[in-house]
Amino acid sequence: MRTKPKVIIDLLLAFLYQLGGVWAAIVAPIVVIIVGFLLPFADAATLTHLLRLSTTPLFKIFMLAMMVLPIWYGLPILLQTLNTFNIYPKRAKLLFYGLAFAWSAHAGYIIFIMGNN
Amino acid sequence: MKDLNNSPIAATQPIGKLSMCNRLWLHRTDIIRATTALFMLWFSLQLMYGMVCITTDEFYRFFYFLRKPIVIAFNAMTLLSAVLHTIYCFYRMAKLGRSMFNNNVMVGVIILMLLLLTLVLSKQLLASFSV
Repeated sequence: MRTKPKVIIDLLLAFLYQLGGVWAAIVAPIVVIIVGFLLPFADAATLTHLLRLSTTPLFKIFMLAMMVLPIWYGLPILLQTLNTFNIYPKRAKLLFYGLAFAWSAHAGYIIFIMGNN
Repeated sequence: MKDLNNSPIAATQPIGKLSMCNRLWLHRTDIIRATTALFMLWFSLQLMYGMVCITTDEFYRFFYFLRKPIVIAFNAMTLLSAVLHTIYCFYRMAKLGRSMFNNNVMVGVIILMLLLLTLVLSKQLLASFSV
């Protein structure tokens, strides 16, 4: 029997939600420490090292995951919290998941298309 | 998460008649989760700005942006919320593990292994950041 496409989309959204939560839990604190507290007070050698690192594909994929995955966790959480307080925006799922998709597409554009020019 | 039906406030009167203060206290876990989600959005925007600055060869803009006191204060709150989210997520995963294995010892083992994974990854990332 064929599975319906809607079920696949729901499964994909649930997978992205869980993955985003786990990624944000494991990787986010150290990246916040690096970007927020070590990078502003770093010396010139570290900055040069970081700029050289920023052209490698692994760094790009890591930054893409760091920008995109927490969004797929955070926006549904905001929608759930709105629903908890009896606020039901019209077409809320389309709005929130569309925003998450647009956010991901923009991040991919910045890293892989703007970065190569 | 706490079972809301056992809360003394919820038992006395319906949720619709609660004052705003009581309602906020009733849904405190939801509010904390939403706050961590908002800080995730802020940090993602910040990283996006950093990548734009790197790709346009104007990294100094991002560098001086990060040195502003208001940004450092926001990042301190972001760090707090990230650690809170880590604790909450590990607790939730451990509860999932307890329902799978039906064993209380496994909860501690799962949390310890997740913490170990986090520490090792953090050490690797810090080592790759410094020269």
